[in-house]
Amino acid sequence: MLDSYLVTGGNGLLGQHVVRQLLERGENAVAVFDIVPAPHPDERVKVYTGDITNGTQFSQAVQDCRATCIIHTAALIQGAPRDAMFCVNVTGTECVIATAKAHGVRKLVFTSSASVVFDGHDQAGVDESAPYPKVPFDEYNGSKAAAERLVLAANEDKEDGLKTVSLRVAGLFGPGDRHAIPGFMGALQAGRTGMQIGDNTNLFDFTYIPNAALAHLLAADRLAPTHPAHARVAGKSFFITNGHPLPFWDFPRMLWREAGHVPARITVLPRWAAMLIAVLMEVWSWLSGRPPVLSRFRVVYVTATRWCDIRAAREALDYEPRWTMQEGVRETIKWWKEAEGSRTKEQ
Amino acid sequence: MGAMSMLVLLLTHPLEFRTLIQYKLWHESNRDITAPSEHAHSGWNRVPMRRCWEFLDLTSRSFAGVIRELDGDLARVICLFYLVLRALDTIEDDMTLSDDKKQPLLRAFHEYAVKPGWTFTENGPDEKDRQLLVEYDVVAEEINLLDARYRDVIIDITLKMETGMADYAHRAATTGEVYVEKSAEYDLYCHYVAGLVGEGLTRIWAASGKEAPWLGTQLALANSMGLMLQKTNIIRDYREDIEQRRFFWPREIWGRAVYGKAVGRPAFTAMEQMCQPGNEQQALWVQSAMVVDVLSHAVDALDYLRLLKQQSVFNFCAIPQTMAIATLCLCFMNYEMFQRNIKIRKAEAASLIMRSTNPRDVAYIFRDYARKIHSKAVPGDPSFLQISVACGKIEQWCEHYYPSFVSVSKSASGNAQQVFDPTDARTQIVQLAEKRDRQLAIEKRMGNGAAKEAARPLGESSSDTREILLYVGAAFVIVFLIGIGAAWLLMQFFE
Repeated sequence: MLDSYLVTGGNGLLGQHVVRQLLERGENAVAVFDIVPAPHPDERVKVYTGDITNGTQFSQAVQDCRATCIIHTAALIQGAPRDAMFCVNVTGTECVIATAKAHGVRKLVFTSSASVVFDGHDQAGVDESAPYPKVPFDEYNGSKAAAERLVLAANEDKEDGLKTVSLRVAGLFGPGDRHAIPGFMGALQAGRTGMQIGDNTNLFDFTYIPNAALAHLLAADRLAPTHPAHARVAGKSFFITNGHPLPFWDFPRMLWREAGHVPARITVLPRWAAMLIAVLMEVWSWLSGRPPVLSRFRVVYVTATRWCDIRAAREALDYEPRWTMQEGVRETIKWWKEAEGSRTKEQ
Repeated sequence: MGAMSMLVLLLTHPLEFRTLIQYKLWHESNRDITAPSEHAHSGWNRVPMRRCWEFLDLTSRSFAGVIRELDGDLARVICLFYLVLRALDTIEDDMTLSDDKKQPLLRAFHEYAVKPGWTFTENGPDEKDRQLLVEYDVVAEEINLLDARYRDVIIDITLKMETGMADYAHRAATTGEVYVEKSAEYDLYCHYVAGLVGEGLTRIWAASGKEAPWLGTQLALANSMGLMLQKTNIIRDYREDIEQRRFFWPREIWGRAVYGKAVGRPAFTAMEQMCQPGNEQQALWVQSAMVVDVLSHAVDALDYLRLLKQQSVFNFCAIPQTMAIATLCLCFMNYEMFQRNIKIRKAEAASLIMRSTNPRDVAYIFRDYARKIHSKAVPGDPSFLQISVACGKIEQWCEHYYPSFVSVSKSASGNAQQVFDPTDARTQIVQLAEKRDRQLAIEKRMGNGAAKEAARPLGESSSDTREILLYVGAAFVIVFLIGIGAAWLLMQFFE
C-alpha cells in the first residue's frame, strides 16, 4: 500500500526539502500542515494552514488527506521565547502523537536535534547510546529532548500500531536557511570575519539539508513492518549528519570564500579571554537591559567539540550523505546571493 | 652526524640535541646480523648473502636499518625483495637504454631475477646502483635458497611491477608524452611502483606466520600504504624531478583552471611554471590539492597498522608512514619545496622513530600533523574545504579507535590502567555497559530459575555468615585434632 504523507512544518526549511524529495521520487499523496503559507506553492501538494498545538485543526488535516505517514518537522528553533518553544515543540508533538493514534496513522518520523544529548561539554563521536543530560544545555535542547522521549515512547509493538522514529539532525544549513546562514553571512556584512574564538581544533557537524531530508524518507520507508530493517528502526533514534565534521570556523570561512571574501588576517581570541569578555558583557547587559553581543553560551557553542557517529544510520537506514559539504556550500551561497539581490532590489 | 655539528646543535636547538642523544642511547639499531647465533636467519655465513647485505647498505639510505631489525628470517627475505625491486628500478630509470632494449628486459625480469648466474652490465655509467646488476648473480642465488612461499610472492610482485613499468616506459618512448594526464593514471602509476611493494610485503608478513594469514588479502589497505609514501615523495621531490625532466604530478591537478582563476591567471600549461617567479600563489594551490590527494590514504594506513601484531613488522611499516605525514606537513603551504629539496629535521625523524611503536601513538602522530596542516590552511585556498574534511577524517578515526575520554596512565605498581574522563558523556555509557556486563556474568554463572537464589556473592546475608563461621570453626577443630593426633603418634614412636 502506498503511503499518504503529511509533512508538518512542510513549508519550513527542512520540510520543503522533504516535500520536494517525496515528489521527486514519484509520491502522489503529499500534504503539508504549516502555520505559514507555502513560499512556492505546488499544485501537487495539498496545504493545510493551521496551528500544530490545535488538536482540531490538525486532526481535520489528517482525516482530510487520509495520512498514513506523518513527518513531523515543525518546531520553533533556538531564540524563541521559552513558553512558545515548549508549547510548539512539546505540546505540539503530544498533539501529533495523539492525533496519529486516534486516526490509525502507521508511521511517525520525528525531526529531533543532535543537541538533545549536548550538556556543554565536548562530545567527540557520540553515538545513540549517549544518555540525555540531567540538565539540558538550553531550553531548545530541553524541549526537543522531551518531545523525542514522547515520540519514542509512542512506538507500538503491535503489527498495525503506530511506528515511530526520531532523527537527530545536526547543524542544518542550506538554501532557504533563516538561522545559521544569515548569522554567518551577517558577520561578513558587518566585517567581523577576522575574529576567531578558540584554537579551531574543535570539530563540528554541519548537515546539508537535502541530506537530512533524504534520511527522513529512508526512515519512513523502514517503519513499514514488512521492511527487513524495521526492527532496527522502529522506536529508535538516529544521529544524522553529513558524515564530515569540520573544525568549527572552517565552515563560515568556506561560506565567505564562496561569496567572494577571504579574511585578510585572523585574530585568535583564546577561549578563556572570550569567556571573561562574555561575563563582563553579560553583566553590562543585565545593567543596561540590552542583549549582550557575546554571551558565555555563544562561547561554549563555538568552542565545543560536537560531532556524532552516524554508523547506526548508515547501517539501519542505509543512509549515506548524497551531497558533499562542497556542493552544500555552493548551493547555499548561490541561493543567498539571489535572495540578497532580490532583497536589495526591493529596497 | 659529526661531533662538531652535534655541539652546534646543543647550542642552537637544545631540545633536538636531547632527542638525538636519547635516540642514540636507546633506539639506534642494535641487531648484529653477523653474530653466529643469527646466521640461520641472516645467512651471513654465506658469501653471496654477505654481499647482498652490503648491497642493501649501498642502495638504501633509509630502509637498511629497519630491514635489519625485522624479526628472524624476515630481515633476509625483505632484504632480497628490496634488492630485486631496486635492480628492476635501475633498469627502468636508465635513460641510456633504448626502448627496444628495455622492453624485453623489463618484461622478462621476473625470470632473470631468479636465473642462476644472470648479470647485466649495460647500464649507463651514471646509474648509481649499476653495480648491483653487474653482480646480480649473488641475489639470484640467494632468492633460490628462499622458501617457496616467499619466493613465489617476490616473483609474482616482480612480474606485476615490471609489466606496469614497461607499459609506462613504452608510452613515454613512443608517444613523446611526458606528463601523466589523469589522477587515475597517477594512482595507477603509484600502484605499480609502490602499491605493489605494499602488497608484496603484506603477503610476505602473512606467509611468515608472524602475522595473521588473512592479512595477505588486505590488498586495498596495503596499496594505500604504498601510495601514501610514494605520493608524498613525489610531492617533496618536485624540484629534483623537474630538473631531471621527470613529471609525475597529474596534469588533471596542476592544469586546473580554478587555481589560476583564484589569482586571476590562466591555468598552468607546463609543470616547470610552478617554480617560476610570480607563480608562487598558484603553485601553492596546486600543491595543496596534491596534499589533499595524499591525505585520502591516511585513514587506510591507520587501518592497516591496526591489523599488525608483530612489533618489528609494525615498526617497519609505521616509521615510513609517520615520516611521510611529517614530510607532508613540512611541504604544505611551503613554497621552498618548489625551490630546493627540503627534509624534516634529524631530531624530528628520530623522535618519530622512537614514537612509532604502537597504533595508538601513530594515530596521535597522524592527528597532530593533521592539525598542523589544518592550521596552515588558509580559506583562500580552493582546496580549503577538502583539507578540512580530510583532516577531520583523521580526527574521526582517532576518536573512534582511541577515544579521547580514555587515557592510559601508569599506576604506582607500574601497570598500565585506563582512566575515564568523568566529564565525558561516553564515560557514563561505558560505566553502564560494564555494570550490565557484570550482571550478565553473574546471572550466567548462576544459571536461571531456582539457581538464581544462590547467585548472590557469599557473605551478603546473615545466614551466609553463620554458615561461613561454622565451616571455619570446623576447619579449626579438624586441624587441632590432627595436630594432637600427630603429637600422640610421635610420643608413641619415640618411647
